[in-house]
Amino acid sequence: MEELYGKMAEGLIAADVEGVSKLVQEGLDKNLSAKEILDNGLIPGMDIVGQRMKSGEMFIPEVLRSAKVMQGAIVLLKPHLSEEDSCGLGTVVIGTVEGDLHDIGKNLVSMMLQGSGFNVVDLGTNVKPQDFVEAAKSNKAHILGMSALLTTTMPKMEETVRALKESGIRDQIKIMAGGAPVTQKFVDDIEADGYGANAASASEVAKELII
Amino acid sequence: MRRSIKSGIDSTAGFGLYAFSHDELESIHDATLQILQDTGIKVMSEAALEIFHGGGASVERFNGYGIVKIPPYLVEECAFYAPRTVVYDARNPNDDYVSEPNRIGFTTFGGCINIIDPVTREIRLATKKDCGDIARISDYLNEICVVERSVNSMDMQNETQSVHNFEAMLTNTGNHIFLGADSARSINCMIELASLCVGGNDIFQKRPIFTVSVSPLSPLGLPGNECELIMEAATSGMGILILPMGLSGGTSPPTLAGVLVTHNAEVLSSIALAQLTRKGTPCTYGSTSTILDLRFGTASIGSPEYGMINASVAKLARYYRLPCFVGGGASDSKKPDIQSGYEFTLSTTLSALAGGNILFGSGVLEQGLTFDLAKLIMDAEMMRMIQVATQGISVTDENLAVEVIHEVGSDGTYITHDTSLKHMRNQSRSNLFDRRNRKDWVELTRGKAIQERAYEAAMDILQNHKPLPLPDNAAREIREVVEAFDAKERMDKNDDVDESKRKIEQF
Repeated sequence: MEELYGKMAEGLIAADVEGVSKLVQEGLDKNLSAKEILDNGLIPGMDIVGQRMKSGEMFIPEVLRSAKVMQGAIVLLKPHLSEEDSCGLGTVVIGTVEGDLHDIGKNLVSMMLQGSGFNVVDLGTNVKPQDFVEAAKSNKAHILGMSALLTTTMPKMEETVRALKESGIRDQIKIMAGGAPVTQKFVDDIEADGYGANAASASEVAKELII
Repeated sequence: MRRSIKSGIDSTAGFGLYAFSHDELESIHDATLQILQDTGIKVMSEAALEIFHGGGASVERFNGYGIVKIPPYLVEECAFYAPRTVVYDARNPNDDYVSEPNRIGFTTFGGCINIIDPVTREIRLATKKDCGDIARISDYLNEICVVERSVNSMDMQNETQSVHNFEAMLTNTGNHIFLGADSARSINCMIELASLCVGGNDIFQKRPIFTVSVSPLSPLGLPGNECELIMEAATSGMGILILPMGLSGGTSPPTLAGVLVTHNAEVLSSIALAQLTRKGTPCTYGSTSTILDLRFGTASIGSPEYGMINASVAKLARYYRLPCFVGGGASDSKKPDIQSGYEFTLSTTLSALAGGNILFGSGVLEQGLTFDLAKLIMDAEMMRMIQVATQGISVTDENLAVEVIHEVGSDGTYITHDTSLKHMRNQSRSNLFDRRNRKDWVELTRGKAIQERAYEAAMDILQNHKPLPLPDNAAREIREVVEAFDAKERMDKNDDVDESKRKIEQF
């Protein structure tokens, strides 16, 4: 089995769509559970991709291609996953805060999180605090991710945290924030839980937050 | 010996950069026209859509925005309406800056949020005082031709930051000011402040002492707020700076020629909106476009591509005969170190050789997030060197100096010759950069690092430089206007917060 899992990881790194699909099917045929395939083959493969991205060895477009192959593999596994397992590592509701239309960083994080095995609900840009709250509730999200590029919209992050507190679900959810002007200190000040300095570290931080 | 005058020889004044042939510039222009006509731009303001439609563009409406397709004749016509040469009027008339083709000047990077504290050397959020301090240093530095809002007043509430930035700058510099605005209301307040400083609104109308910068949203988008600022500035008789930050490989094509096309489309569509609002609105062709580093996901402004793109934009602006404000001199380094020096020099030199009118980028570190005073002082020294270099070598009978060479021969020396006395002050002069021998350097500086000497120079300027004072009572009057604006915006904001709280409670 180790060999099969190793090949899956290699396939993900090389972004080999057909190869990975075949390997996943092979695993299912050998009566491996979908969760085993996910936990032992695909997620470790994407972990390597994440590490190589961080070290600058892999370029972001390559990483995104791997993430897309990962998403394809998850689609294959979905019918075999229990409802609990089908959100993978957990559900993340993500968006760019109100007043801000910049989404390239948020999209990267969103794709990386999906590629790492999270179920991601992307709310797009210009997301109002109450819309974040609503989406977090209706999707039973484990993590809420906020992005901002403009310094003038950063205060909306604090408002979103406040809105979550006022709605009474603050204790049930972890909050992450990121974007070029955002710093660890800012994240601490607004009482969020995690700071993603870039797309690679965002998925690492997300994993740490829910384990 | 007699040398007669030479007739009709080719000559070049200054060093330049032959970046594109005319055919290549036409190709970029044609590609841009095609994009504006067939792909269109996304405009997120109903009022702007009306203006585009009224001007002859086709508008297709969607939920909350419209796609505007502009016919080629309209794009070219609007670019033509914008004034060819712009004089940037200054509060101090001695500092009026003329941006004719190929004249080069410098200013700082804009809109940083952090600063390296010149005393503690800790990185911290920038304040209104920093904004004023940097304006004062810029006012002092001869190399700086207009003053850019270098940092935001992060200690002031959001909706009024731009007005506070402006107040801090007005009191610290007599130069023309470039800055962004939070809203049309902010622009109106700024006009009121500027009018108080120049002796009334009628004088301000003739001599607008500031330019509002606006940023399209790459790729191919004009957000509602930007449209509002363009229309308000044009209506009020102000000029605008259009400053897209397309990121190659992210929000712009991965090929640099493609970046020029989307960048050009973003600028020309903004110019069209300005000209359709009021014909003759001064438009400065700007750029801070660069690459998205596709390994680290950062907007790299220390890369060679930053210099290449911005030098090319200077050529494009020249093609449209518009004044330009392009990047040059920014850095990705986190400290005012050797990396920041190398990066400053490469991109600034490229943009200077390309003839960019205002090259902005000095003083900045960390992808444009952090400002540093030592870097600004060191950069100013390098600007001076670049000014000398771009002057090039003038080949005239006098400069060829055949008679002098003959006179000195192989036994004499030039240092005692009269021509050296005459030309010595044409040499580049270093101040911080040390050209002495080691012994003198040790005695003079005790081996102190250049950054440390630069911080000291900055503090010295802050202590001793007195910018042109505001007219009597103006400082007090502008303080009152800013306070009233602040109070009003805070009240409006509280109403908004109450509104959103109510919505959350309902939910």
